[in-house]
Amino acid sequence: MDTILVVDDEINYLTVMEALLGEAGYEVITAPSAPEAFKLAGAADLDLVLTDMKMPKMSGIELLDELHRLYPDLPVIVMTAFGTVEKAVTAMKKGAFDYILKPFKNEEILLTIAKALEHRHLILTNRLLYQELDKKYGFPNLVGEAKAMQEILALVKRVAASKATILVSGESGTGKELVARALHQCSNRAQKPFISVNCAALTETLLESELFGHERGAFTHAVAMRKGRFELADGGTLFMDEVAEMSQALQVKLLRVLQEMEFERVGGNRTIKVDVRVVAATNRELNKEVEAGRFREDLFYRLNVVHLHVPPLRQRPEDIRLLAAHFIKKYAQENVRGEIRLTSEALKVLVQYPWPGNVRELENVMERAVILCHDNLVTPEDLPGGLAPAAAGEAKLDIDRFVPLHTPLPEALEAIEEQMIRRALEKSGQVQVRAAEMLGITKSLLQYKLKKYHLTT
Amino acid sequence: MPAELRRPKAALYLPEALEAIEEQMIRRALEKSGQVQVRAAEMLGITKSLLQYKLKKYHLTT
Repeated sequence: MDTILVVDDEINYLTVMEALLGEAGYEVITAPSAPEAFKLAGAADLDLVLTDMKMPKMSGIELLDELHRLYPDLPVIVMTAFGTVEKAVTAMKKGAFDYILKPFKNEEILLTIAKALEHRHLILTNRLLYQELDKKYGFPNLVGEAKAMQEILALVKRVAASKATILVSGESGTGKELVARALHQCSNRAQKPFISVNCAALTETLLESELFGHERGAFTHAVAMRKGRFELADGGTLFMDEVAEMSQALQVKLLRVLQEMEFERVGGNRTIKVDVRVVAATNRELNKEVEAGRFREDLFYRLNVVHLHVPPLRQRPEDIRLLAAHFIKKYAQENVRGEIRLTSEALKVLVQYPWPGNVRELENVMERAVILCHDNLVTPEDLPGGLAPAAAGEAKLDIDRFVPLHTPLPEALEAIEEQMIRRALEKSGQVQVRAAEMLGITKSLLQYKLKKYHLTT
Repeated sequence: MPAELRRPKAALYLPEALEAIEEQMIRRALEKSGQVQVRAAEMLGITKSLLQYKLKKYHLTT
């Protein structure tokens, strides 16, 4: 819903405009003077200003100047009395979107307003589009040859056009937001905003006003009217991450929005209608959350119209090479490096690692490697130490950390042996039989070693 | 003491642990000495013949 600020020192006039524009479906705020208008412009999320030219204190031109300086995208239409066309021309030069001569017919002003708003929406959409482009959204980042990934991409293309709510599940870092962006990109909503909100990042009250917006004065500190994410996403897609973290009370409200596509801002009673496609994501198993009574069953079914599961990286190791190459290319470009290659030894390390942080972790590791590597070659040394195979039984020890170079072999072994024996005795409560068992040696051998290291009590 | 050896559950027994460390130390010495056995043995404080015996034991001969 578009918000229009009307500025005029004639109060009767404001009342008339409020009724006219309100009836035409706009949200109207009025100000009897330019300074007042200026204050309101800072406090509300305005789409258009309609101002009279001749006002005491501060003229319409001055207001226009100030608004233009602070909010260059906010269209201003000036209203001027018959016979002062020169002023209208000045206003146009100063950046007014259009002017209208008083007195005017209702259709006339409504048409001018519609034109100005259309123009504004074009500009905003355009800007959003570029912002999105900058983020390098969409398919180029959804890399994967694994069958599971191919199935997801196919499903994304199939369901993108529908308005159905989609639930994306998958471990943290698997790229759920990328899937949501791809859905948006493939839909006929692609030209409209893609808005995302993380339900776990905010407290219940904050999240509510974040989602639905709030009216001015709805609560302490609500100094300005604010549009919520649902309103911002009107016509587009709303991505709700970590939806399982939402409180029961908010779950009820969300359910209503999904069913009716209407809601009220916090502290308001006017119903706002929107057209939003919701993509929800969670790293939990929502059906288990439902069973445990933490997530409403009705909301679950509402969200789960189409379910996309993004598999963890360890279940598609065949994609690791592809993803690593993708990220190396990305960060080589970003850091203005030449072509960087991954050695097969480094790839081996990457493939055997279980990637608990999934694709995001791989991306971070590759970014680091690109920065650290020499001669445009990523070797195992450029990868974090933790990635190397863990010492399970067959100990692959980081010997450099524990035994200094040039330590004589017998001494090093004796020192370690002594420590292991001490440790085993401690653990076993000085019971030699158990310590020997833990060490995998006979009791007599242990006793011999105890003497050797003077560990007998 | 290496964290890997401290894990009580790891069932890493004393003989295996010592062998693993010995092998690693020998590998490192060979690497640092440019595969020159005399120098590697010196670094490890053992005789050349003992080193050669251990190289066979750990299948480290080239």
